[in-house]
Amino acid sequence: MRRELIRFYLVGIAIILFSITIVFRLVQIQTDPIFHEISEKVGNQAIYKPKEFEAVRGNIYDRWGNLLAGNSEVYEIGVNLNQVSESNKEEIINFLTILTGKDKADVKARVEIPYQPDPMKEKHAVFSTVYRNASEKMVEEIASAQKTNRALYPITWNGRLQRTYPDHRLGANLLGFYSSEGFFGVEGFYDNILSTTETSTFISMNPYDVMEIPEIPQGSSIILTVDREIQAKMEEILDRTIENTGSSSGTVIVMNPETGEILSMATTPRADLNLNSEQILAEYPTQKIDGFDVQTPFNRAIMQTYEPGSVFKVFTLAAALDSGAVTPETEFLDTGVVNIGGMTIYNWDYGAWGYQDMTGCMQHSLNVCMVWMAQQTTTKTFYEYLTAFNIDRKTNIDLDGENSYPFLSPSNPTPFGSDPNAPRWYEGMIGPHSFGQGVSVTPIRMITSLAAVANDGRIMAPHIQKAVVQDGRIRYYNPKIVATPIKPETAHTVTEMLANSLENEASEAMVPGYRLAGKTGTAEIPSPQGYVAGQTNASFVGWGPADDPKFIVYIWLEKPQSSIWSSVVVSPVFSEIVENLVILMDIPPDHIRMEMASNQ
Amino acid sequence: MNKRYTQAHQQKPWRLQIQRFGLVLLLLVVLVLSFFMNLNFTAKAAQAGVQVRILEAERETLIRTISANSTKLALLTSATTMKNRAKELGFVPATRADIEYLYIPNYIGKQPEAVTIPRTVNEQDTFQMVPAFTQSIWDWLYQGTFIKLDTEGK
Repeated sequence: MRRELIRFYLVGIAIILFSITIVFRLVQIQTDPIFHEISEKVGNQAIYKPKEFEAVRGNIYDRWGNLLAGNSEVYEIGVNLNQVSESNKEEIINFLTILTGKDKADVKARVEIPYQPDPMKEKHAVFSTVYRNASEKMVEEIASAQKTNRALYPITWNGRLQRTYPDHRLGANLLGFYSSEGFFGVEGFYDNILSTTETSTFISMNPYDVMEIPEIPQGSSIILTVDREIQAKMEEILDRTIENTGSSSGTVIVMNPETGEILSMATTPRADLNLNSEQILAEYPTQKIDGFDVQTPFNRAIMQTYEPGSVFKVFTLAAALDSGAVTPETEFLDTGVVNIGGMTIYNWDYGAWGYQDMTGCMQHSLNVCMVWMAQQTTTKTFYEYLTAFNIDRKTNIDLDGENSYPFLSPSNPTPFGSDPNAPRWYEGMIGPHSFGQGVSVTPIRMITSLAAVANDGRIMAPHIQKAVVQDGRIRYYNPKIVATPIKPETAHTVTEMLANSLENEASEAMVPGYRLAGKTGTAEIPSPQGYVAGQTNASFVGWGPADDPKFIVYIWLEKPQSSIWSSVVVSPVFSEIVENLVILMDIPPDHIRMEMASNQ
Repeated sequence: MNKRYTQAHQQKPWRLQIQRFGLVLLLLVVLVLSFFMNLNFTAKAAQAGVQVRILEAERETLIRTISANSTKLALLTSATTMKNRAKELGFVPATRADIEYLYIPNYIGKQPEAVTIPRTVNEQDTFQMVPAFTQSIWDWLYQGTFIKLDTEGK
């Protein structure tokens, strides 16, 4: 062998030996059980990480596109436990205590949780949450502090969305609230539409692993029929009225009778929806009523039934006129008392009003006349009309939690069973039913059925959803006719009679320049011991303009203290509401409207 | 008459050595080239993978930010805030006496604000990953073989 080749071969041998050593070591690493265990434990944890894909909950808008419910960004602040050591622990605890304002012991307990990366172990912990729902400002403070202090590096944060209601208490009763799922109102009823399913999956951290990332569609948004400005005004008027009259609660509903659109639904109480669910529900306490624990309804307009009183007389009049039992000119001799089915019924003032036509009966709200009117209609026909007005059923409005109370009638005489002590229908009940006692309904039921009189005899399905923004397009709700209990002519006649009765008595409900139709209602409140003296439910229903109704308003004040009479406490409220409605809805006075119509 | 020709001489040994050495070198160069190409592609793939993760995280953040910003805007224009701002600026609510109605032909009245319509997620539009992105070369070879065998009915 030539000498110069020896060095060449030596270098070659050295390279080969080195390569063999590397290969040997690689094989050793691959087959060594210790390395195998480490790679299983550390490698898999590092490669696959669980990830939740949060769906964005849809927004809720008013009819003009003002946001009523949206989402805001909040952060979850915590520490990466594997980075916490004895050298930085104290500094992290001090910083987070000052930042979050939490008790130092609590923060310490959260930071000192031992790091346990094995998900199979009981105390698996890699990240410890110290503070939830942190603001953007807090996160910025952390980022700024970390620039100058490396010891704070283990502090980290994750952003997420939180349901937010920009107007806090506005429309709380109809919006409902969201806390992991929707409760009450629109949030509860449309929960499945507003939210989409969240997905959780394991994501590979290995950049070579190409994987499909689940695409979570955003929740659909809902545009309501509610007008934010009208809602705010109604709530302002209602709150002030409750304070002035000493009422225990109140409800105002404004509806478009032609479409069934709810323009406003104000009730009390209304919680700040940006609080947490416990705090919200604390504003609706449980009360003892007649020995029963009753939770304050979240939305009285749809959840609380009550005896409406004289506003119910509109149905009796409509039934009597539509069936031909009476005409507006029919005269009735009011003696101030009537006995029916063993029950003696008096007028509200215990007075006798002599000869009255049907408008006079409505104007003076005469109970005795109403009983006579129902009798003239005949029991069978009277209840057929009440059934046609859907008094015995829910409205099925698109709000969560609507309630109803069984309606005692010839077709449903024993809804509470055959127990002789249970309430049941008997012939004499036509008396109180004719003037709205002995029948329990929700305000939404009342306004929906009464709106038929303002809408040519047609009951429209009440609804709060104007449109749904879904799958990249807007789907509008089509108004639906639910029933036609009376003829259009009857509806016009009733409206005319009620408008005349307001004018004849120079009611405080009137608004100069606008012809309105309306009816007061003062009802006694039932209890297991009979009707409670000195306490009433004061209601009012009114609509306008009388010749072409654009709104119908239903007001209910529970147990007003300043006066028990609806004509005293509620009529002025109706007037104030209409004063504002005609401005907010751009409805000119009647004479201008007529002029405009003639110009067109 | 058949004539048979034979090589009169062999190539010189040094030429043969150079040829063999050249061949080995060529193989080495090909190996090194393919190694660097592999390194280059995998590095690019890794970079792209990381980029996808970053973009995905950014997209999530942006979705949250967009949603949060529209709520921030709504907070700034809430009914109470607007009422207070109007009050501060000296505005008072209009009464019937303040309003004069005018007849304007073809006036269509107040129009709602445009509501943002989110992008549709259709089945057809969603990203369907082709197997080539996830298959290793062995998967591809095995699968190819089985498909071939299947088509031949064996």
